[in-house]
Amino acid sequence: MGFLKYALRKLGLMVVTLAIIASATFFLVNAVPGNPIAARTLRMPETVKAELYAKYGFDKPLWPRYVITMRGLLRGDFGMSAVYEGDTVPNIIASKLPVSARLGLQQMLVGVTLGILLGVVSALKNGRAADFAIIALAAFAVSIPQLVFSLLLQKFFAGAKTGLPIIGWSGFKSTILPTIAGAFVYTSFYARLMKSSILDVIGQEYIMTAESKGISGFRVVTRHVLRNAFVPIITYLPMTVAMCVTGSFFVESVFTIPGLGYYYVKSVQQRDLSMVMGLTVFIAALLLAVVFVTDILYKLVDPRIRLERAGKR
Amino acid sequence: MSDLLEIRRLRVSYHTMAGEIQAVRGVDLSVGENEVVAVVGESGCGKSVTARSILRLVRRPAGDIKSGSEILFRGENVLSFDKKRLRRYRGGECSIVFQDPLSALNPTMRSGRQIEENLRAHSGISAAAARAEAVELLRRVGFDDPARRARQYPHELSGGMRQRVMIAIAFSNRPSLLIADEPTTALDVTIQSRVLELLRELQVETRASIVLITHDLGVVAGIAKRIYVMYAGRIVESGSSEDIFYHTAHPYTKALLASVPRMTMQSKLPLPYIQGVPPELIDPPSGCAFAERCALCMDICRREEPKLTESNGRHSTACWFETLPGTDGGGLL
Repeated sequence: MGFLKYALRKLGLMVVTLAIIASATFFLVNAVPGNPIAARTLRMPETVKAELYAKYGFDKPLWPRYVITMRGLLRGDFGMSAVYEGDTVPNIIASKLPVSARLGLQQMLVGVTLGILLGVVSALKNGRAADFAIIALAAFAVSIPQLVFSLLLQKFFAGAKTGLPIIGWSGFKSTILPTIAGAFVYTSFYARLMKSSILDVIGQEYIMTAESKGISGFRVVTRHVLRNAFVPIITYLPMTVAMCVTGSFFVESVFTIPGLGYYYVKSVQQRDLSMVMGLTVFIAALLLAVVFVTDILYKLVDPRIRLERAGKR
Repeated sequence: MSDLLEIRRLRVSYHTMAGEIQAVRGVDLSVGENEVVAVVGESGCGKSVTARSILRLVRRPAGDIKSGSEILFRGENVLSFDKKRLRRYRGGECSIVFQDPLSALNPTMRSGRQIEENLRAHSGISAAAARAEAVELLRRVGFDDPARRARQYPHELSGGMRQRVMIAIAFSNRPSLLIADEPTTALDVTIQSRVLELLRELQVETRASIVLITHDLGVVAGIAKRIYVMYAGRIVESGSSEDIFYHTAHPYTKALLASVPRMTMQSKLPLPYIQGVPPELIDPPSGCAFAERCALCMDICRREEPKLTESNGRHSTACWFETLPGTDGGGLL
């Protein structure tokens, strides 16, 4: 099977998956009684109320609304916010995504790099003090909720002494604490992943072959161990990119950062149906695209993986 | 003439959750220049651990070559080599071929590169010269299109081809000693004899000595001059191939020989096999390790360990039945 056929098949599957996600989101949000404009329209005259209901489509029963919504999605029309006048999915993404993406990529850059380094150290010093310290730190880091960690950072590191603002989004300095707050999770995840991956590779026979050649220990690690240990890491990286660019609700809330994560969760709370639908489909599409890219990356790093095999699965 | 390799009192243990497994319990073994020696025994008898010890590939901290062990290569103790000397020895003077070439070759490195790496570790040749030499080596081990094969990854080659690549790596610096750890076990039967034949050719050509580790006496027959039979971490019998095949002394060796399938066997009859299992090496028995499975077991066998005793020339066996006066197993069996 050629590459094109493989790609087309994957794309087809992506469309089906997206349709299922969109439908599920639609019915779940609508399963809760009431609607986003009910409270606002309580004291309005009946005619105005009816007009507003018609404007947002809440005058129709569930199924026709489902059809209208799905048709809209097909045309790329995500509808408008029922809560904030003038908000549409494209303009929310245009204004919020760059903020979340910048913060997310900073977090990832710091977190993943540090995680990989710590993982390498921990694996090569397996069973010794440095290893225990790193693994304990990693366990500690995942055990603290991000919300708590963000608050602790604000309490101890923001203020006049360090010159770091407590909240807000203006300039590089304001990004430092949120970056650390989010990076920690990646560090601990990648440190443990890298460690177990390296230990797995070290146990392989080809490492013994490498050692039997009389090359330096450094070369054994860089050419034979690390290259192979990176294979599983590569599969997680794109997913991490997708997750971090779409923003974190906790970090963005605590530091009042006008990002996508914060807005998304607020839309859910206010049951702003069209926005939830639109953002869900957008994020899902992003994740699916990332899975696609991962398959190709994987192939580049590990020549054993063939696209044909992946397609048959 | 002094021996190329002489192993004295080799003891190797593995530390596990369950306790210390004494994988090798005092092995003496010698290999002459330009000689092919086989070490035969069933899985878990310690033959592979012995093989790895020769290159110091037993990994600490789980694996532990006990103090008092000596592995003399041209009179120098490999176990006390410093880092630099060890690097010169590994891949230069002594190489190893593993059982399963798929897991023994780096999956993310082209096969040519894996040969070049060994070449360049032991001489100052340029990258281009190493590349050409690697292609030449691939041609020597039997590839018709060596340049193309050099660019391929191990998964793109068949099992037999991979083992040829492995052999090309091992012979790339014309080592004096080659350790072949079950080199044909993971291969198709049709390929086995061709790989063995290749090993033999290269041995004759380079005058290297080979330690051939196998569980298959059939593999050994045509190629080894001398044979060591291992059981439960010890050598139980050693001698020339002729001694082992035609003047078999130890009951374990006899049982092994009896379980080799032959063309003349009736296909309806079940294959003979050795009843029971080898002893746990966490707590090895105080007597003969084979006693529980031995048809000739006597009282003394369970009490005391028989020593490896020379019977005639270089033919030795560790069996009470053979060595006690008044018993003569050889005649009865």
